[in-house]
Amino acid sequence: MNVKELKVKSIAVLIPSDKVHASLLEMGFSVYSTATTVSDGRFWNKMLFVRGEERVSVSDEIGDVYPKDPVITICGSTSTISKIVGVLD
Amino acid sequence: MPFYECNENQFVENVRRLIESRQSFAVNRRISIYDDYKYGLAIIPDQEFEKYAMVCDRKGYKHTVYAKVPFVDDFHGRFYSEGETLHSGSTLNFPRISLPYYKVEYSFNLWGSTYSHTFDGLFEPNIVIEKKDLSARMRKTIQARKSNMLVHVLKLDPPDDKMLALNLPNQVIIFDVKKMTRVFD
Repeated sequence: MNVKELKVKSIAVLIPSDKVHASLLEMGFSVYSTATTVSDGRFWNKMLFVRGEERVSVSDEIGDVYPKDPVITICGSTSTISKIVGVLD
Repeated sequence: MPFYECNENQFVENVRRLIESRQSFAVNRRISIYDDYKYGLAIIPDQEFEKYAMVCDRKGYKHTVYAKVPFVDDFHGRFYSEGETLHSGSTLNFPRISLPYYKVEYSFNLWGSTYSHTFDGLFEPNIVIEKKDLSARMRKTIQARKSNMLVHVLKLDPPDDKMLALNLPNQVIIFDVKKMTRVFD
């Protein structure tokens, strides 16, 4: 894949992060690493998925919070972005 | 000069809009390590605290944290004995063990305004049992005779570089900077 073709998209979705993880694994992404981050005074569990040059990070707020709206940031081809957005719709 | 703070979603989407509108811009990134007692064991969520549960205990969020076993904090080179208070529930702003972190700041300037996104990446605890040379003072607190003994060791590992980066395409120019100065007109 040509690196120059990669595009970026970030979305916040109201579906559980487990479902997002499962969809990414089904699409051939693998977990690269996890980390705990803090932004806006909130703790997040950030998971990075990779497939070749494509990268998807899923940040899910830690704890019993409502609503849970994981932030998904995709750096991938146009078709990968549409596929992920389609699965999460 | 206006300064706008964005969350990750907003910042990345703003960058995407700029790329699509073919604007020329550069993203500045500043990554700095902090160990300033901003984060302590009493004020981290339960899910994060569980990673430290082998060496310490607490009744709940914002409750006093005690050492469950004697252990060495390898990052700061300190020793804690069993029952020692690690973060008091009555002094939440002053933890005894500081949890180090990387502060990551992304920003770009457009038409005289600055748009930024900031987050902290916490170091990851890694608790092992190791043979350590303990000083006489350390040995006294746990009534040990041998200087070289097996003890719990709390290591704090920095997060992977890729976890500190935002997922931006390669055509985005990122400049790493040491200091950001905000100028107010």
